[in-house]
Amino acid sequence: MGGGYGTEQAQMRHNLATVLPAGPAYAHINLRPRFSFSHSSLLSLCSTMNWPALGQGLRQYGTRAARNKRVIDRIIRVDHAGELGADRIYAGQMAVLGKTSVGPVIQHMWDQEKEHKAKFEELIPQYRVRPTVLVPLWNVAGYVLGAGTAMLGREAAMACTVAVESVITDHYNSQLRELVNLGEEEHKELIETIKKFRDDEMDHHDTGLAHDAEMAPAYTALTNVIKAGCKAAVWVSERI
Amino acid sequence: MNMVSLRSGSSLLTRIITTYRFAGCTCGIRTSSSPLWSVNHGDGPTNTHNNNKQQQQQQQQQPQYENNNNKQQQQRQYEETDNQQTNKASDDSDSSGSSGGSTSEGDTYIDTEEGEYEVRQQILDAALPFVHSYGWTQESIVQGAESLGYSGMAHGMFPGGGVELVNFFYKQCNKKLEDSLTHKAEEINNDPQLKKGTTTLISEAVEERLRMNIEYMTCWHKALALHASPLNTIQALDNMGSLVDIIWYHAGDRCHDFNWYTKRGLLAAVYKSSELCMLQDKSDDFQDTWDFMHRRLSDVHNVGKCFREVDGVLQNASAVVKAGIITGLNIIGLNNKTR
Repeated sequence: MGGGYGTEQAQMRHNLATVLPAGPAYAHINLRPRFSFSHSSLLSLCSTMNWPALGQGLRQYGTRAARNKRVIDRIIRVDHAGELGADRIYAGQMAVLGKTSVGPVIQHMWDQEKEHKAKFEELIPQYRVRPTVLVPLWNVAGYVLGAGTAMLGREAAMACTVAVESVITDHYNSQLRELVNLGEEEHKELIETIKKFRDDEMDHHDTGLAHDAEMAPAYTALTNVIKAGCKAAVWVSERI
Repeated sequence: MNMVSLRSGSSLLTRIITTYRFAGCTCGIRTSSSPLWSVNHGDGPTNTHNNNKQQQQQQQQQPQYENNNNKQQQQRQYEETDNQQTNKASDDSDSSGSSGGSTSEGDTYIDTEEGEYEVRQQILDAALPFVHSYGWTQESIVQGAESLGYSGMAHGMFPGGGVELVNFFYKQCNKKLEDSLTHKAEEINNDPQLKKGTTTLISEAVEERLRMNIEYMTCWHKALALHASPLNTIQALDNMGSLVDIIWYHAGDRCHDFNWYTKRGLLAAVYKSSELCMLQDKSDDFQDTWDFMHRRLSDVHNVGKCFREVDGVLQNASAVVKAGIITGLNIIGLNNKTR
């Protein structure tokens, strides 16, 4: 096919030469049209070389139903991971601060997270979703985060709550948008569930602020680090 | 038709065809002035070439699914709307204006994603009977397409070649298994007396699924070889994953933690080893394979029991050690309570 391309290039050069001014100053101008040729040449190359299209295997899910399934899969997987993490964080905080004055507050929030986790554990077999492979990791990491921030003081524990809940709220909101996009009627149940949980998380966020989260040492740095960690965890859990 | 056709405005298929024609020319094969594909005068849709007015007229009478498929593929792969518009424009301008080309009319079913998916499935389904003669190769797909009336060039829709046929067959079998297991679960619901143990359910499901391979047993090793290639690993693992998920779900597994993975991993190992055993099994009705499979399943069962026992032992062990220390202290007389 080399001969073919050569003559094509020559043809194009000839065509364009009549339009472009000649001379060394213009030699640098790329004679290939910006859109079609380079892509079509790539396609021809692919077809002649008979590379199995690597993306083809992944594109098998071309139907709407399969695409829906993929999206819901991800949503439920990451939400389950999130609630599991939150449950462990509160467990860690309670282990350190259980006997202090914020004990009941944390206990109340923990109970709600337990409810959320149970709901997602019910949804996993219902939608035939694969849970994230990092469940043991989030178990440990959540507990360590909760206990660690609680050891820095009750305000730090509240700051951790604020950071985590704000990431989770944003995350639930974007999931709701995605689900509504896919079809509000179809996914009514799931949308209602996530809405309710999002409202609960917003509540926790406000509770954290109300209990002097902002008085924590290095509040901005602490919350930013925890937020970044949460976002990374969300990204990974969505995929793995 | 000349090399100029390779520029913008040609679809993927026309480029493949151009390549073949060029190859044909260089090998001294006489090609007629009309395109290669016109030799196949089926009633099915034929491929089109934008610059050939003759084809354009045929194009208007027959659905343009091939062209649109490739347009859709291009669009998805490169997201170039400019290319599409150039194609559309040339289509419209080249048509003699009678119907303005099917592309500018409302979408036919085949133009949609679902439609394309349906066509792909039909072609692969039709290709399966040819596997006995041509193996899991592109040639089977060509024969399958032609048997449906499409041009043999439709194999261009399956760039992976033979492995796509293998995947299709695998998925088809998985689907059949799922339907059968759902049906069995309903029967058990209606008549509780039929209730079986988990291991029995699993062994029956694995046997049923392995029996579906018997039809292609002579060439199944080639299919497994295709799956073993690194390029196809993702697909192979995906297929295996959905298979073990189906079996476990219908055997009653509802877990949502790491055990989800251990259970499926163990079953995948059992299934794979049984499949390999089946490849060289010469016994009557593959009885050796079923015996092998039952032995592997009981191994898994024993491993699970062993883990549970070890867990129990460890918990008891700490209590035993504590008791031992206290006894020792008592003997030495260091227990403060009785001093």
